[in-house]
Amino acid sequence: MGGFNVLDLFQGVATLVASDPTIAIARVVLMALGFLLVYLGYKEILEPLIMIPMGIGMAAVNAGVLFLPVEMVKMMPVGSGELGTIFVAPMVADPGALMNIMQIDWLQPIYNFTFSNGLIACLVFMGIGVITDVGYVLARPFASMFIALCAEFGTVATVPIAVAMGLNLHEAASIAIVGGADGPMVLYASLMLAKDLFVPITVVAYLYLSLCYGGYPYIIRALIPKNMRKVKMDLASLPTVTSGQKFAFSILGCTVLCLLFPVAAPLFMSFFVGVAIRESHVLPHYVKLIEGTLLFGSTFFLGLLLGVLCEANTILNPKVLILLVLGILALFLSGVGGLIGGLIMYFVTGKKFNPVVGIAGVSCVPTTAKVAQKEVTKTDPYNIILPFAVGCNVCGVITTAILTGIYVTIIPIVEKL
Amino acid sequence: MNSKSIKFWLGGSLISLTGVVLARIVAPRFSEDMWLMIGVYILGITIALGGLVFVTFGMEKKTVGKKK
Repeated sequence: MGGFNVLDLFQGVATLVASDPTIAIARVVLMALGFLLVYLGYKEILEPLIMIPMGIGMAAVNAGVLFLPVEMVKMMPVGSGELGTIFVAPMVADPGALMNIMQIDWLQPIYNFTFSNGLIACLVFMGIGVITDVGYVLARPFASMFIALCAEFGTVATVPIAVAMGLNLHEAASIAIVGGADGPMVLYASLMLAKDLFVPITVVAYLYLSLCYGGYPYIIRALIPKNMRKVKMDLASLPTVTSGQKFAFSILGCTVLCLLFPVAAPLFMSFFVGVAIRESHVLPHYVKLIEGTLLFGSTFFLGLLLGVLCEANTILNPKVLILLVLGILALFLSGVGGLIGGLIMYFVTGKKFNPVVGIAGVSCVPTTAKVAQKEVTKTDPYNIILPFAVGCNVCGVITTAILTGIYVTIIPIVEKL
Repeated sequence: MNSKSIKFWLGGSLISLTGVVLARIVAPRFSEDMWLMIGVYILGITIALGGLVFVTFGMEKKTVGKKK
């Protein structure tokens, strides 16, 4: 009875011993990171909707590595090795192998049919459209658009910095979109422009977007003096727009933006169909379906898939450290840009515009609008700026989508020349 | 919807359409000069978005106590 190794009974541990030390350490670190994300999500320090499934997925996929059967090893791309999981194999491209893998890896069908083709991003965007009131944008289009454009500073400035740090133009644009603070956009842009890096880019983006809530207040306090944070804005001056006009505008806006950016048309259509369904007031069942089942269902699977994709072999890319730096830089610059926009509006309007609203131009809906209100409330509990902040927030979603469309359209053309 | 707002809707739509034509049809014709092509493309986008903003001027907006 020679040659029996007890570790073979516990392949999760045996594979740690059998794999490269770097990979083994990475797996342990990622398991610990998964625990941390779950804890931070549970405590609501980070967004629990994403962090709890993501953390559990991350811990489970790095623990559940096994020695793949010979038949499965043949289905994997060349060089994948004999170790793997039965969660998802993101690098399998051969259609025949994919069909076989889909019958084994339990998340493979969801990954291929919703994640890697951008469907899940579009479903989330549809949900955002249904829960968003575009009336604030239509009521004050110039102010909202100006703030939102200023808040895209990070999305633009990060591209040359990323290229200088060694990324190619496609990868630079993909990581720069993190500055737009819009998860579905980042997912979509990286799928279109830098498919090899879309897992680390998306993971970095969602991690940092959850950290916005914690980090942005410090930027606000650093850039905006207390007396400016106290500026009261006249709620009575904020006009409201009828649902019929919002409905008509959503149809026109969708058509114009799809004509301009056909490559981003699925995202625009998803957002505006949500808006149209909301403003029609004749489709309450669709509203309930989209804002409930579709939005929460796609958010859940998005978080779970992001966690499961953080398997050590997939995430250990030499460029990940650069992406970590660039992601935080993009978000930081966008926050600064938005606040500078707010300061400009403060002076242009004769000190009637609260510059803190500028942070809401960073389109992490509704996080940055809440951050703006929370910071203003600390200086004056009776000062309400939320409606103005929401307008900039919503406009930020649209400008990020436009910028994504521009990058996805122009970058391939520029690279060909 | 009154005639004034219809004019803004039609005008805005036409301006947007002009921008789309500039960005999607005219700009690619300058493919030999990359910077000119990008310039015309960005101009077209700006005009198209400007058209959408133009539409908002014709929207009936109510504030507390008065209609605009």
